[in-house]
Amino acid sequence: MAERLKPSVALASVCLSIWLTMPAAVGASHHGQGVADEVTLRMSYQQAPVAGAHAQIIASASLDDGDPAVGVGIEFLRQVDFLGPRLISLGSATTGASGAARITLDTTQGKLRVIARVAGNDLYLPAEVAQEINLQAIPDVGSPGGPATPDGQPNLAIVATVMPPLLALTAFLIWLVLLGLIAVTVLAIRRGRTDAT
Amino acid sequence: MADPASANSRSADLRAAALRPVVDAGRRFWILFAALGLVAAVGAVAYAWQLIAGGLSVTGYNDQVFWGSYEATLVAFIGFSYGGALVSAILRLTNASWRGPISRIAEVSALATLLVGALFPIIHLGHPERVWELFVRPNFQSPIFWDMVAILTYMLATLILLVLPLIPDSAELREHPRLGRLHRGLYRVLSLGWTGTPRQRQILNRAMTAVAILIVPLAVVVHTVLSYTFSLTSRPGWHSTIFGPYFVIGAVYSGVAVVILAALAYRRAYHLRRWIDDRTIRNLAFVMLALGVAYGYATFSELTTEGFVGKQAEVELLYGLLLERFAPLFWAFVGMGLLAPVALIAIPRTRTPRGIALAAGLVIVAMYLKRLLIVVPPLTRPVIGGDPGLYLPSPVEIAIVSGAAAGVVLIMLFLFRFIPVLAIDEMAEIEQERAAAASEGAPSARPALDAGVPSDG
Repeated sequence: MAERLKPSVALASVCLSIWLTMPAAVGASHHGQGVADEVTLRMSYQQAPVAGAHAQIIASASLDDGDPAVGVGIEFLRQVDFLGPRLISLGSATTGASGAARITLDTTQGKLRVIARVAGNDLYLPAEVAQEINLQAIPDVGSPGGPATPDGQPNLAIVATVMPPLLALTAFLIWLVLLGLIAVTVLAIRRGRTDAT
Repeated sequence: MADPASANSRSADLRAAALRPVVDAGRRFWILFAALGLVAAVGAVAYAWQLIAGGLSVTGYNDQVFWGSYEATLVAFIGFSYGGALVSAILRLTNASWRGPISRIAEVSALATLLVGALFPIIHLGHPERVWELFVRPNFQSPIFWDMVAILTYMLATLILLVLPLIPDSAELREHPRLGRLHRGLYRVLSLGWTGTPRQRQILNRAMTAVAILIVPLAVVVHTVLSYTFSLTSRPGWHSTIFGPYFVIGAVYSGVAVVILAALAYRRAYHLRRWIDDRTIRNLAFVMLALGVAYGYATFSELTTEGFVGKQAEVELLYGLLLERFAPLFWAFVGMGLLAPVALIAIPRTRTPRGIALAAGLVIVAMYLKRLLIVVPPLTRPVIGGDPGLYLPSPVEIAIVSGAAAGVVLIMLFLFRFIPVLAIDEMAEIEQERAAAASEGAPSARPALDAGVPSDG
């Protein structure tokens, strides 16, 4: 027995089919197939070449066919175990034409567990890779140059100019007060010895 | 109301008690003096050896751990000083009636620890003969220069805090029959012609209040500037905004412990229990208890702040401190410096003079350890590569630091050979105020000094 579809069920079916096809309509994937691409992540690191330089962590993102995944935002996290296991952000970077994204570490040596993560969006599915990194100590063979002053920093020279004289003046005034206090007290006590009132 | 005869007798007893270390030091005093003198002499020889044998190469210092026991001792001793000065100043400002018996001991311990502690930046110098260049070629951008300014200013204030209350005491003692010519001459000079007129008393009280007010912020400045030596660097483990207050709380905590130990030692050695009574010691112990809890919280706060944000370098240091290399020392500090003293004072059964003395002794040792833990671990972690640093104090360092500790006690023993151990005038004044309040029917804050307290010994 054939049954007629109720109008409300038919409307719901139409809406559902429109919603399911929306991603393909809004954004085009790498393959133009209308679904987000799967990304494969690999992680590596570069030991600091000399003492004073920093190690780098590199995450490479590639697609199914081996092509580099370009413009993928990757977040780098470190697993720590202070007051329970937690993830600490080391920074984030976006993959370039070669599919690689890199960040600089401020740790110079030791073992750390690093996780590279793609949060996922319309174009790429979420992905994650974890790796133990073992940074070896670099022998100190000389004094590296000091850090370059970044451009656009506020000029704090005025503080260095004004603070020392202000501090010196304050110290001088305190000495003056203390020495004055003892001098005045000594004189006043000597003068007050005959005062019987 | 106390009758005049009994008041006079009490006053004479007080004078006699205060002068016991001056007129009747005893054989044990000289044995202790000689033993401490020997330790101090060994320290002096070790320092001479350091100068002759190539400077800091005879210490455990190296390229990575370039600060160690000398810096820890500097921070520790100036901290001890701070506690003494603050106890005296704050109790005076709040007019605490129990301050009298311990104020002199607090002031002398403040000066003695400061005098010795201030030597340590010089002991660290390879060329101490160049220290005068700090004055003629100051580097205003260096925290070390401002450290020197702050310490010298604080030293002057501490000296004034000690000398001013000595004026009326010297007048009391300048004609004392049991004193020799040297002492009487010294007291005559120190008394400045004091006759005890209301005008003189008013001037002295005003001056002492002013110094007490000044010394509180000065002591805070000294210890925060001392913390800048560490926190104004970008080294992980040192670069911390909490270091200023953290140093200040630690300083008062350990300083109060020094005052307690010194007061108990003098009380026992010179039978001063009638004057430095159990209640006074308990009150000081409660101050130490509160500061111990505060310091424990500050320690927790410092470690949690670093650990929770989890900057890589600081997490590594934290692991080293809590679980790895320095864990035995850190947990020894927690046990000896925080848990045990707090428990000893908090539990009524152990809150006896002996228990309080044990607590104070533990605090002093543990707080020295803590200063080492502040200085050394961050330096063992290289910031520009290389192997982790190692540090073990050399025998020369141990001899110098032990000599310095002996020197503090020697200075105290020496000063109390010349000045009364109890603030005679101040105690008499407090007692007069209490008697006046009692005669007016006002409730007394505390029983009279000698009421209900066992006699000497």
